[in-house]
Amino acid sequence: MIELVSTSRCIECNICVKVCPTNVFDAHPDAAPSIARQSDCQTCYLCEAYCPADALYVAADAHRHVDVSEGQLVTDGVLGSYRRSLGWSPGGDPAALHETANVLRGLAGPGTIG
Amino acid sequence: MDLVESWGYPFPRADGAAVRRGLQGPEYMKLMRKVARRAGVEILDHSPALELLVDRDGAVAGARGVQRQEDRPWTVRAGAVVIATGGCAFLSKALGCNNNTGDGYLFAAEAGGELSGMEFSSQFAVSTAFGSVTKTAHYSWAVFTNEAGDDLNAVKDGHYSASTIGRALLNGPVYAQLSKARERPEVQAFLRYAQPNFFLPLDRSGINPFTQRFPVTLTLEGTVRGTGGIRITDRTCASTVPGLFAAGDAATRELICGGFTGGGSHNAAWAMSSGSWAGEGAAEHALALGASAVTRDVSGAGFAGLHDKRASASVSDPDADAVIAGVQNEMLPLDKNLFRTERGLRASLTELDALWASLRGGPADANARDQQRSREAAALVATARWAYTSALERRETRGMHRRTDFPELDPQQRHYQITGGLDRVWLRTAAHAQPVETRPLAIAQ
Repeated sequence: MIELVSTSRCIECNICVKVCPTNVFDAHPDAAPSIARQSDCQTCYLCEAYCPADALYVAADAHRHVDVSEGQLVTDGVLGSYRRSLGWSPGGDPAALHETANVLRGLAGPGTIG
Repeated sequence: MDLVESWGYPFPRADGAAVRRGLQGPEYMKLMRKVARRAGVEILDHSPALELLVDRDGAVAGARGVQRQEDRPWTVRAGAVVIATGGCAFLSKALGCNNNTGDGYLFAAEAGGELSGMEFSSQFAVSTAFGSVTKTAHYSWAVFTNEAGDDLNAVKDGHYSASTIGRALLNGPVYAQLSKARERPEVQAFLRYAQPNFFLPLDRSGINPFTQRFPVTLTLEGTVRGTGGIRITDRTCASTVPGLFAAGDAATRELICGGFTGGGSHNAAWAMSSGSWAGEGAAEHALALGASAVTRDVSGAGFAGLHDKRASASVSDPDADAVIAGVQNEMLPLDKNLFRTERGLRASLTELDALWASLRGGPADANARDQQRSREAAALVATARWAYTSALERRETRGMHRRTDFPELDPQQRHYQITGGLDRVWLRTAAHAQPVETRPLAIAQ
C-alpha cells in the first residue's frame, strides 16, 4: 500500500489525488497531499508512476501497513524507480511504445498469453 | 485501428509503417480522453454512479451519482445509457480491480435487465502471497513448489494450472521461482523491460525471482477476467431494457470466449469493439427519442444500499464494511469458489441471502464515500448471489467453472444460463447459438 508522501520532494501538484483510482489521497491548500484512506489503496502503483517529483512510495504489501524510512529508500535509489523502469522519467523511452508482446511469446514458447 | 491511428496513437513503427498488433493501456486511455474531450464530452472523474433513472415505461433515461472529491451529487438526463463499469473482482486487490465491484450489474438488474454466464466468475490469478500484481505471463518461466520443495508440475505448454496450484495451496504454502530463465540473462533483461510492474513486489521485498523462490497465492479476478456479465441481445450491445446498453467487462463475453478467456487480449479487444457498437446503438436510440429524451418524467431505479426517505426510523443503516467482509468470506476462499460443490454453494447462498436481506436501506446524510461504499456492498452481494446461483445450476465443469462433484464437461450442457432478480434470484436456460455440427470437415485435395 501507499506508505510515503515525501513532503521534502512533493511539489503540491496533486496529480496523485487525481489519478488514484480509489481516492486514497486528500488534497490540502499549500501543502502536500495526505494519505487519508490507506486501507482503500489497492497497490496498483499508478500514483508512483505519475508523480513528477518521485515523492511517493508504494510498498509491496497490499494487505497490511509496513513502516518505511524515507532516508533508506533514498539511499537505496528506490524513490522513482518504477517511473524509471517504465521509461516515464524525463528522457525515458517507454517500453510500452515498442513491440514486446510477440517477442515475449517467442521467448517463452508457444501459446503464452496474459 | 485505422481510426485509432488517425487519432494519433503512437504505434511502434517498422520500415516506416505502423505495427498495429497491440495497444498499450495508458497510451490508449490518454488518447481516448483527448478524442472525447475534442468532441465536446465532459468527463467526470471520481464520480461514481449510484443508480439509473428510468421513465414511466421503464426505459433507461439517465443516471445519478456523487462526486466524491467535492462531496456533491450529480444527475445526468440522457436518451440512453451505456454501462461500462467493468466486471467484479470482489475487492480482492487483484491489480487495478478494486473499482470493479459489479455496480453496473446491479444497475441493470434494478432496471429489469438480465445477466448471462455468471457461473464463469471464478477466475483466479497467481500473484505473490503478499502483493497485488496479478500479471501472469512471466510464470511460463516458473517452477512451482510446495513447502518441501517438490515440483508441482503446474506449468504445461507455457500455462500454469490454477487448479493444481489451488489444490496445493489448500495443503500449505506454494512457491514460485522463474528458474527456467535462471541461466538466461538476456531473457531476464527482456522480462524486466516488457513488464516492469511484475518485478515491483519482488524487488521491493529483496527477492531475486530467478534465483530465489517466493510465496505465491491465487487472487480472485472474478468476472474481470471471467466471462459472465450483462446479457446483450443484438449487435448494438443492447440489454433487454430499452435505452440500456453494455460494453466491456460489464457485458457478457461468452459470445467471443465461452467460459474462459485466459488473458487480457480478448477482453481488451472486446472492450474496444463492444464500446464502439454500444455507443453507436445508444446514440441511435437517443436520436430516435428526439427532444423527449431529456424531458421525460424519471425516477431512481435503485434500492438496496441506498438511503430510502420513506423507510421507517426502525430501519438501521447497514454496516457496509461488515457486508463486504461477509461477501468476501464466501467468494475469496479457494475451497468455496475455485473448487465448487453443491453443498458449498448452497451454504454460501444461505449466507449471501442473509446479507442481502440486511441491505434494506442506506446511510442517511452520508458523505459521498459512504454512499459509494454502501452501494458497492449491495452490488457485491447481488453479484455473488447471481454467480453462485448460476454455479449451482451448471452441474458440470466447463471453462473456469469447476465443480468437484461434477468434474467432467457435459456436452448436453452447452446452453447459456440467464439470471437476474434482486430479492428473488431467478435463473433460466437459453439454447446456445448454433447446433453442434459433428460432420467431418471437407478438406480440399
